[in-house]
Amino acid sequence: MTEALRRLGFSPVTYARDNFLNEFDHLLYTYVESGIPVLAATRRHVVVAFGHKSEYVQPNPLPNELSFSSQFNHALVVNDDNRIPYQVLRDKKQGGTDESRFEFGEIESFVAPLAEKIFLPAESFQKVVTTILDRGDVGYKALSATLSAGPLVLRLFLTTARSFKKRLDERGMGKPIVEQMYRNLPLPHFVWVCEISHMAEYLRHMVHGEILWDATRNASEPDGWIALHYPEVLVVDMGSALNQRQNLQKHPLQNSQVYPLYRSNLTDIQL
Amino acid sequence: MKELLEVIPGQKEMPVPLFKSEGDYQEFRRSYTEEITPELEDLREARRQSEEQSKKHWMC
Repeated sequence: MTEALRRLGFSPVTYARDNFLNEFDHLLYTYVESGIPVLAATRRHVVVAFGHKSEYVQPNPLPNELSFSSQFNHALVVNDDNRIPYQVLRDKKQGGTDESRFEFGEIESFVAPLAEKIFLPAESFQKVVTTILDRGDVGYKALSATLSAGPLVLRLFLTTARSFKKRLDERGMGKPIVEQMYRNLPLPHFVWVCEISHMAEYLRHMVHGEILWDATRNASEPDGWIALHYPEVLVVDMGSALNQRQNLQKHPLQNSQVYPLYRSNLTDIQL
Repeated sequence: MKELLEVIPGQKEMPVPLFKSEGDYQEFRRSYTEEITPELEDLREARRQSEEQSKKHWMC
């Protein structure tokens, strides 16, 4: 499968449940959330997962300091070449007519066909953002009283700069200066985005800020850091966009508002 | 002379460097790389093993 994808010009990445344990379903969801059709393999069959069903209700108990939007996901939308299309593959089978014959635990591995130029896989980006958010100098506890007020919900996805910029206007980005900044900033073709929210806002599909990282760069050096947006501050790399060395500049922000999360990779199913 | 990229034309309030000095910036880079590298290597290894297992499973 991966060889066939390589010959088609993709850079496929493979994940086995045995090697990623608790992160496996979360990573699969993250690629689906990015609009990437994922080849999900059970013991003897492969289905294509290209959508998800999530229930946005407050978990009890509330998660710790950092949790991910995958916690709301309870099913994938799949195509199985032996069955009718658009089946629902749930975490646990319930016996519905639209239901896949598989459930989450039966997916043993998956392949995400990334574009050739993407060098940063989901798990590396996750490590990058959790490291940044946790740091004493640039982390949210150091720079944002708003975000420090409660546990954070993070949503990770990969998208294109073109698509990200296209939706700046309708989203507002919390402050006109942020929208304008992103609009005028030269961005790489593919970017990883980590949206940052509190539980109450996330359940209303609103966010406080985001971290943008160049998906075409390696994670082990911080040069891929494009921007960090907390309600109180916007940090932008003004250097890399001009092919110069990284030059992180800080813009203070006041009276930031929450704004709608990014929607483009997936759209709601119209019934 | 280093010029800043003007991302907001006519902006009155200029941005300030995130790090106070070149030394602070280099320390950020060093500590970031030091913190992140071991886990990134583990993750890379987990993906390598995943690909190997997958290949074995589907080739037999």
